Amino acid sequence: MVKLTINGRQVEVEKGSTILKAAKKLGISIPTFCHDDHDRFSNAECSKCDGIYQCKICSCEVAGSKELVTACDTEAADGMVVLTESEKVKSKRKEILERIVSIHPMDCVNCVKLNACKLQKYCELYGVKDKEKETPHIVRNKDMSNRFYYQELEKCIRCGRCVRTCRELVGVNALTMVKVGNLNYVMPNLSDKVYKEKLGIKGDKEITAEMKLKAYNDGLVGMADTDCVSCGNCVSVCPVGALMPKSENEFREWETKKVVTTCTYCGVGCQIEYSVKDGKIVDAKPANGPSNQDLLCVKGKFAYDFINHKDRLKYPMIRKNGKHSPLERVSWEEALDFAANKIKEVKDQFGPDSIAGFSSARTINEDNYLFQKFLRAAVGTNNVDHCARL
Amino acid sequence: MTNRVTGIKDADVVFITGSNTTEAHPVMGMYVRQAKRMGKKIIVADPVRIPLADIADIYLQINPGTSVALTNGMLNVIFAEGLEDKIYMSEHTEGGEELKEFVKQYTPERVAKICGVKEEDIIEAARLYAGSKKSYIAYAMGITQHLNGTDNVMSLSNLALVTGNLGHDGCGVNPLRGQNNVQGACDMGALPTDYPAYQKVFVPEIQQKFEKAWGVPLNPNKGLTVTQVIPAILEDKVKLLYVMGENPVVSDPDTEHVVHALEKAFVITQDLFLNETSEYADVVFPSTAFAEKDGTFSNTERRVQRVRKLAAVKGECKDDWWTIMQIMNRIGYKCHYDKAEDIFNELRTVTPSYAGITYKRIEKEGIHWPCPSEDHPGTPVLHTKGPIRNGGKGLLKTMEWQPSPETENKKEYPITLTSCRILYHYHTRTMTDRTRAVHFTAPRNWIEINKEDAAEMKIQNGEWVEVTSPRGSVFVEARIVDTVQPGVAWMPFHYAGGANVLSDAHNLDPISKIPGYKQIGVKISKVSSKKAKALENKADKAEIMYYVNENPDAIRFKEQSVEDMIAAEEAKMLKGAPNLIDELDKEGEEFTKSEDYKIKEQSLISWCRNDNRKKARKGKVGWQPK
Repeated sequence: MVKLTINGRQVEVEKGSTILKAAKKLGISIPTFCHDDHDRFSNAECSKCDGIYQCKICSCEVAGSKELVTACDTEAADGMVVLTESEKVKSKRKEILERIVSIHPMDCVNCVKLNACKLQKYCELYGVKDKEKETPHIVRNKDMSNRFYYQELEKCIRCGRCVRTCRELVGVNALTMVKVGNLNYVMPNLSDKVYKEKLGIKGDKEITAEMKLKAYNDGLVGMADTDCVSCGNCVSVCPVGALMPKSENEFREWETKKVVTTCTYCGVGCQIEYSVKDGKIVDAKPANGPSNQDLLCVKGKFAYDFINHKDRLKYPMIRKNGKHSPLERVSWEEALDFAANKIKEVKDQFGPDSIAGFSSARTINEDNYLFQKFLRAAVGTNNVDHCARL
Repeated sequence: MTNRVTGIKDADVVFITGSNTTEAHPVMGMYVRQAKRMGKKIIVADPVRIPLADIADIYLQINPGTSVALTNGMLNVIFAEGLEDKIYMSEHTEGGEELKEFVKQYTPERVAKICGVKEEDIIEAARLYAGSKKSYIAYAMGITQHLNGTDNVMSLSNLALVTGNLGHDGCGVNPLRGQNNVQGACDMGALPTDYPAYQKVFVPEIQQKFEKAWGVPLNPNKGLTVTQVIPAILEDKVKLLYVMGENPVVSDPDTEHVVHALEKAFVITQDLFLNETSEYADVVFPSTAFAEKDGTFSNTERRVQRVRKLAAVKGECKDDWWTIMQIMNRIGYKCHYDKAEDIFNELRTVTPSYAGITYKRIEKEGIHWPCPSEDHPGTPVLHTKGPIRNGGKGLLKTMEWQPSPETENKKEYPITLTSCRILYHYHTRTMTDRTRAVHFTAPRNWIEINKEDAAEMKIQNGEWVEVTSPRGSVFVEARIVDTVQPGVAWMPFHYAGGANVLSDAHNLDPISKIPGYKQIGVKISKVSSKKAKALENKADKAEIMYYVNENPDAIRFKEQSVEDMIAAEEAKMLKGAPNLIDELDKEGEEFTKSEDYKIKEQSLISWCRNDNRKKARKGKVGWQPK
């Protein structure tokens, strides 16, 4: 264990913890862009990439050190004295934010990410009001080629979380960063072969980063050409509005309430945080469940439209005159009586074992328990099974 | 699962067999890729070259249905090289000597021939697996859905027991369960021989316990499984079928056979949507979706987790338990529950493994059963003190490999079809197909055929083919691949009128009664160009219909391919050219006769002629958000 002081308060953390972790223990929040909340990114990877992923927004002042240190990867040491909001730190953060803002479109009112945007939050916090200058850069077009999400990379702040999530956590490696001039650009990760094919280049001619960017901007290549599995984890981690779900739901962050529940698809049991507006699910994000660790797949992230689909059954129906008659809307009372009378009739005439029930591996334990109790105790048969074998 | 889901990252060796993990359990697939990045070893054994095969250290492309032979071969190597865990075996298992003797006949040479893989790879895989005390076996339906599925599972358990890979973190025998609550449904006794917590219905003491708890005399006879109920209806033994949240017409083997049965019985269904099964239903009850109810799901690692009501209930939908409770009262069994939690508190009293779990305890994080009391922390890893088996030790059973009868008639049905899951769809698509992006990513069925087979049959990529088994035939699009061996093909399981038209409902695994979905003997043939065109038209039409049903005017992100298709259709109509329907040949005509089709057809035409739409198209359609 090591003891250190942050903003005048003492804290004890395990050896090897970062300053960020120690601050979190005290309830002091330090801004971050590129950092993964669960420390799942490998640091080796970071240094390999020339530090292009370092946003440095978490810079803090440590007594005795001339330079500011980054809280996310600096180990807490015994007797360390850290200041997370000193004037020096604030001006450094302001400088970083101003640099980001100088390339970022300041059209916040029309951005779907409004109020959920980290950049917006920190700009407010450190007093960055508007663009003071414009950094020359290559203007990006939207990439709408994936069916589930779109990229509006003009808004990208180059934190690299999407790239690293895809590479290190999902393992698909569909995103990459290329460097043109002094700036990094997030791009679909494609081989030179694909670019040559799309650009109609033959032979050994080298494909430069500029050419790649141009091909991407012209819509010749897109996310649809990569190995992307549309899991949407890049969308979930994007701190700004650069990666967004192609959602039909119109909502703003403050209109929603968040509820965590268990996913309804496969057996992994991922925890999902749904955003709900007026009783309707409008967005889904991974929650940090024990079996999903802040990850989701395409079904969990995007396939919740069925809940509000207009084809949903809304009232009970029965066929009054046998199999070939149409299903007719009836009241619950009538439908329940109709079904119950038939069950009683069959049971009396042919015995309980002439009735069978298929329960469901898709519904809750409580439903399953009551369903088998219904067949065993109320009907009197063990003919109950579900789709475990299928 | 004996171990945790995340345990796959703690393992040193991961042995994946019969599971396309990245497609069917995507988040777990991500963990496998993370494990690989951490330098862990991966062994994959699967007839289909799944995406994880590309990162595997050893990939064994075995012939379908040869898992028992492969495991016996691996055991042969393990015993021959003395890699078994002798201490664990003597302390915790019985039947070791017999097994050792038995697997002697499964030499790597012989197994290599049966499985169609290299001898060295089998030896290497055995050494790798046995060389670690943290070897994690993950399997799914590719192991179980065979006529010898039970043998497959038991042979994997042999492998774990012989090497002592059981009872600690990062190892174990781990079936990846397909549905969100298939574990829970089994735990809750939705099985024909088991009360909750696998207490057998035919044991008198257990029967007495439940008679006391439920206050009525109970039936001691074993019930029928899903796969036995359908034939029983046809034999007039079962007259009434109550289906809650299931779609047997698509999910059960031999569709035609299922349809016959459902036409005969009185069918009550309870579901979110009208589906293929409710076409034969006499009563349809509307249910609430998972987001509209409170309750619990038990995931594949036996963790009981909360499900929370967060969305508004649609129309007159009711919770499933409410409907069942109403029926129970009406047929003379009085009971009353106010909320799901009341039922949970009741089931805790009769389910020893859930006894210590309460809604309050799992509010933040779920608990693994067995959890016998409220101060018990739950059990993430099973068999920590040696295998639990009715007081006895872990039983090593000898399993002879047997070829499936499905593959015997090679002359008439030369191809072995194996049904698979795909990433985008879920089971019978009732839920996933309502998300447009999912639908258009995988709108219709297909078959993947080896390129050599395709060349022999003169089938091109994207062509329509007819796939025939003794049960029936289906028309699908062919995709030519090299991810399967010659003589093997695969088809997604999800589509109605697809793989399950071909599967067999009569031959089942003798113990588990599971159908042999992974080995279906089929023949594949080209279809005439006229027929192919009709099929293509029908499929295109279905796409447009789907799109129209989704109300395209309100869609913000247009589907470009369908927009183009509609534009082409519209251009034809404007020119006065005969529209696509007239071009359909006989097979197509049948389809156009249905009343439903005519209505949709009319709506399509009127929609296409809608002036507003044309105006909309003049602008830039589709690619920009509003």
